[in-house]
Amino acid sequence: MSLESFESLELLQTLEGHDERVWCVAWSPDGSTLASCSADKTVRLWAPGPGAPPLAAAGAGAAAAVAPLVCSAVLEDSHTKTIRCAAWSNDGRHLATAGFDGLTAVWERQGGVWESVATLEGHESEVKCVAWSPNDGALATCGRDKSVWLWEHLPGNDFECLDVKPGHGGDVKAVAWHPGGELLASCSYDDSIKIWAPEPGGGGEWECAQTLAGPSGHSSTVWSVAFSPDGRQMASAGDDKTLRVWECRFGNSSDDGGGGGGGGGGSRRPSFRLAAAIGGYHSRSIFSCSWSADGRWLASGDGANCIRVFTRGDEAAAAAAGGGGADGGGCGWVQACAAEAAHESDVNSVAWHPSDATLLASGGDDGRVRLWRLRA
Amino acid sequence: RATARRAARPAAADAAACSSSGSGGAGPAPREPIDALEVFEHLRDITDPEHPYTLEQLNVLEEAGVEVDDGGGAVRVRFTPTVEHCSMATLIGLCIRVKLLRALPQRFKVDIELTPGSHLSEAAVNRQLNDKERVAAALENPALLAMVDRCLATSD
Repeated sequence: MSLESFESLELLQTLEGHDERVWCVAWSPDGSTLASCSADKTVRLWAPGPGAPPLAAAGAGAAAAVAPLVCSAVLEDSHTKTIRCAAWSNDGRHLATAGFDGLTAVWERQGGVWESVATLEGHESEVKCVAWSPNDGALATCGRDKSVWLWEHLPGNDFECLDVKPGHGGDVKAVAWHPGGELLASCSYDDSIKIWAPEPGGGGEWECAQTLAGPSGHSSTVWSVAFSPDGRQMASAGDDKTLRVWECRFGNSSDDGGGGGGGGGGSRRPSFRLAAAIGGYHSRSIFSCSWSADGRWLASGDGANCIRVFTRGDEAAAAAAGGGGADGGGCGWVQACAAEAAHESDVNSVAWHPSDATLLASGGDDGRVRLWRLRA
Repeated sequence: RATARRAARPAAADAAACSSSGSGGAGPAPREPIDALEVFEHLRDITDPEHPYTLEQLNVLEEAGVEVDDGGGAVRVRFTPTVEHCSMATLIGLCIRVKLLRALPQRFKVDIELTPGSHLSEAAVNRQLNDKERVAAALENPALLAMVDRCLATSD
């Protein structure tokens, strides 16, 4: 009897509307709305219909019933090609999108209406990912031109390029901010993950503080990186069919005057170490990974139409599941459950709800968005 | 769990395939398995981007280079460029991918590779051909798509 049977993923809803593959799904920070973007060049917003209880009303962590979501808005005409990624600002007022047309667009909620307020030009070719810094003061973008761009968000929805970071040897597939805000991770077609941090001397320049590659890293394209909500761990997902969990540590840099973990100013130099390699589960490329709000569940979606959910078992559980395929043997992570044929084609994106830790959204090549409940 | 997938997946996927390619009746007809010859038939008449000949005539593609696992929903195509520094290898691979995207039911996962040892940049070309994001972006490039469509015109 395996541990896996204790949990299951139950399909709650299928949201139809996109005409082409869905690349990315993203929850608004208050959990009230889901955004999805697609090769059909639109963003769709999904929320409970008029009169239905709002999604986040049940309170953090509650596995309440979910009222049917309906498409509440369609954002279009900002891109002329595929929209690869959509990202909410942390205050929920803005939505940024990355397009294969080389543009990053920013939308703002004005009253009940979404208005396109800025278009960021700079990348030479496809923009693949966009992410807001935790205080919404900056945007990071990345793309096929192998670079990571940092943009300052100025009053009046003005965006100014702060820094352009070359360094990757291939397409940069995704960027993610550490919850602390002083760290950015990027992952690439060059098989590596880079950790970017402000230069110790100040001055606003960013530098590559660490490159995660080689024997402990992925052996092929890294598609996705995600930080755990407490910022202590980062997960990465790749074409090598593995998930990797990295422990994030911060050491004080030499110019920092000692002090323990107080976190009072000064630059803290990051140090990432491989904590676990989760292999032997996914049978094709893993395109996306996401941490649940309570940090307990790590979900991943792959090119075999499958969503898997992993959790950190205790030692005994890990040993019992050892035969189940974790090639990291004893890495402590076990599969809690899986939805085979979660979509009719590749699963491109998975995203846990920001407060309801068992509610998961997914988007796939079948053009559908789906909502799942983890039953534990 | 791993083995349950093999048994469970085709049933659902096949129902979908039948509804679109069935024999015109109301009920789902039993599905004809797709084999390597059928896949090869889709590809043999693609025109080489540089020559007025088909991929079959140039021995870029042969039936033996096509593997099909109908139950598992997987297709693997290996092709051999005419010279090992062929600059068109990626475009040929893209033509094969687009043709199969259009011709095969969605349940098939397609891997396209150079025949091992047939090209100086084998790993790089293989990587590019199997990166769905790069392929998607290429197909939104009108000039590239026109080239692909020209090569595919003879194979319809």
